[in-house]
Amino acid sequence: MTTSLKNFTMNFGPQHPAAHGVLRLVLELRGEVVERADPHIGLLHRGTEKLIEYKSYLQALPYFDRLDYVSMMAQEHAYSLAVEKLVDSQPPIRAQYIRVIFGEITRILNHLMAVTTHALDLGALTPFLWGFEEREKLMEFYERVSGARLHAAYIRPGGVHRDLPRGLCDDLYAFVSQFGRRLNEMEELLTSNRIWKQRLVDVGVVSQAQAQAWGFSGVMVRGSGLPWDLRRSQSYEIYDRLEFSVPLGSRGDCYDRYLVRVEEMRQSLRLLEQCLVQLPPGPVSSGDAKLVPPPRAFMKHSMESLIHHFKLYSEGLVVAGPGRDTYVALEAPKGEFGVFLVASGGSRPYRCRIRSPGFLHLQGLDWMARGHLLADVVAIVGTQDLVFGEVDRLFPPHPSMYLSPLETFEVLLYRPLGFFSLDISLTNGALFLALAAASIGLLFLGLLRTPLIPSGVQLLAEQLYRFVLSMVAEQTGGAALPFFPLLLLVFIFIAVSNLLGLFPFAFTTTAQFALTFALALSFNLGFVLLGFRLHGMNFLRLFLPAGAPAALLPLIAAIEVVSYLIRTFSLSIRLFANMMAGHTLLHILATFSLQLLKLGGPLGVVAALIPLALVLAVFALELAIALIQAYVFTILLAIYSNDSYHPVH
Amino acid sequence: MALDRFLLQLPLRLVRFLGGLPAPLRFVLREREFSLWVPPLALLPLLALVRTHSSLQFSTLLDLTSVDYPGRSPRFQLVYQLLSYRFNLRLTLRTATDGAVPSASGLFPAANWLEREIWDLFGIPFGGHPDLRRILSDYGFEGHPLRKEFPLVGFSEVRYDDLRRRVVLEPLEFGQQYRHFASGLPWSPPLPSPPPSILT
Repeated sequence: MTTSLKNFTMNFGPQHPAAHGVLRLVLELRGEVVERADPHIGLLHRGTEKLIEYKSYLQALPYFDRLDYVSMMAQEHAYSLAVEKLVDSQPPIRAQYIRVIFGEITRILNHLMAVTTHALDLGALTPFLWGFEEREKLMEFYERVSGARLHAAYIRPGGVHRDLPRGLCDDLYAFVSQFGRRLNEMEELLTSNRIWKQRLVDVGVVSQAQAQAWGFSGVMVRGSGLPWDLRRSQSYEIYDRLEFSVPLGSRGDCYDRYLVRVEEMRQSLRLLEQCLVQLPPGPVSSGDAKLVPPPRAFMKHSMESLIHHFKLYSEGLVVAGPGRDTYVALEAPKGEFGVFLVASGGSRPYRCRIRSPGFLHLQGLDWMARGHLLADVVAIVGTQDLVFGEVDRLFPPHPSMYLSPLETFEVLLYRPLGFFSLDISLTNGALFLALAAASIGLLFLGLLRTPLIPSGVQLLAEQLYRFVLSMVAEQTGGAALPFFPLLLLVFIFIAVSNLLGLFPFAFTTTAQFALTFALALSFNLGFVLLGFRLHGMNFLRLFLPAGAPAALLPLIAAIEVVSYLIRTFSLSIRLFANMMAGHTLLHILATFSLQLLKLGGPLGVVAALIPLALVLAVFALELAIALIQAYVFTILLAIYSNDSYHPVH
Repeated sequence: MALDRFLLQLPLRLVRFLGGLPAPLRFVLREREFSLWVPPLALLPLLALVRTHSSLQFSTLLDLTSVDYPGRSPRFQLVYQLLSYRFNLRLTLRTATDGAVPSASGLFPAANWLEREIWDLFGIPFGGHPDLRRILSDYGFEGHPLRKEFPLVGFSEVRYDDLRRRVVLEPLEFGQQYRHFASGLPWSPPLPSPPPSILT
């Protein structure tokens, strides 16, 4: 026997601890197996590339810290290299060493984050706690050179902002000499841990061909055994003077990538040690006064320095153009981070494209996760080392931002009020109910003084009185006349509410089921009580029609009871649905008309007239419906009340 | 420098390879990077060639982006960054377009999202793209933000409405316009720039 399984679709994120920020993943699952993964990104898109077009070259720099906020300096570095390439400048050698030092510190920062949060997502908390202590130490180095733990803006076009503070190298050496042991401790917890291996080995396998075709870079290609590291293959700064090895994976699964990351941290330690040993003395930024501002002390003595300082921080550095562009990439911790910078002459970039590794890695999530279990998606998201700052580079959506024709029926809270435990908050509904009451009050106020010749209001009120009176008298044979004042009021109330709702921007209280239901229910309850009071148990004969065959009586009685009870619903739904449908229709037509008008041009205006004419026609109809529904509601109430007076058919 | 090695290598390979190709291709060496200008129609054949040619093997499309030049015709420049792992070479392919461009996603799967991004932000459609949805902008977003005529501040703002107790999307209102500071005083660039050299 076969059973058929239905695929179902599940949302993963955007608020999910393992979504590494704001990833919304629409997963199609067959049981627990992923059939398709459709990442919805952009929830953290802040228009960085657009913003940069409106900033000077230097003002654009801090945006790069904020892209991938766990490998900040790597991105400043790429941007600075791009600007330097456009102005054809080389930073001094000491600056290059400092850049490499902070490049590697950043790599450790990033990989610690990547590995330990990956472990955290898969249930191992301890490495995360240990790793983050080390990250704090590293961020202190950031703080000591730039004043900021995260968004440093330290590496700038022309070099670095300031020289290393005294003692930093010693402390960095102390860090380097102990961090290897911290890595050992972390590896003791993870590397041969059975659960860790079960979750990672053979999960998310990427072949070399796939890695190339999908534009992967960094650990995502090295984990598949492709010997590719930009620090080695297209060396920049002073990486070609340093010794380090490029760790490679063999199977291309999550476990290999984990091992690669751990080994890269050890290699970064090697690099840091060499840099500390080799670090030459000298200036830390280019002497070009058109690129780098002069030291502050110079400004006190040299007019030229003062001018340069002022020009650099007001207008900014100028890159000759137009039509010069460059693509510069470096080995950021997450992969190839590239900046495509177009200069048009002047002090602002014409266009700045940010090539983030995470964007392309996330694209591969679909096929990497296919055929894996739901829980493995977390492992794969983790192994891709995603940070949404760089993947997304506008604002998060909110479902309520869209105009809906049903919007007019929404109850809006103006002022929350409470009376003991009673909620008497002022809402738009309450406001319009009060308006309706006030209108009825005015109508009766007009009747207080009755001059000899009747006024308009008086005529209206008299007509209404006679109309409802004759209706009640006809339908109940005069029995329900004691109810007449109440029915009159109900008729006027509904008619006034309906008509009020037709004013533009008004709230239609009778389009709220809560109101119509409360009205219908209270009347019908009243009728039942009245019936029992007048006839006692004889009232139940209402449900037993005379002359029906005895055998069918139970069935007929049941049907009668049900139909009696259903009256409340039919009465309330009729009014509410009529009002709601009419207003929705008006709303849709009016929106349609506006949209056509927005198209502009004579054609748009003419086209907009068609739905507008419909709006007028429907509005006239709605006026009639407003009165008809009030009439129907009241006449039905009168008929129902007759049942209480004459239960015997 | 290691850079110079492929500085010399690529032109030789490309010139040999390009010998038999039709004329509209232009090869530009600038900023120590190689650009190959191609008409949109020749784009796919050329991408296929450089991907599979045994002495080039540009197996990876690293990046694809666009630059908007409203004054020019054709208006948009498309820039393809290619990488050959086999020979450690980079190549920039450029084309200019006003309308649709054939999609490269059949050759380079990586082009899928990159083209979606360009469609989203620039409004350049890609013919034959399997799934040309917006990618970065909001659900229901209108306009293409990276076009030069799109204002920096956009057309709408999102804020929390206290009365309605929810987030609302409204037309943008600014108490003060965005100020564009331009000193207008001449200020020389750091170094005189060398003119671009054209090889073929």
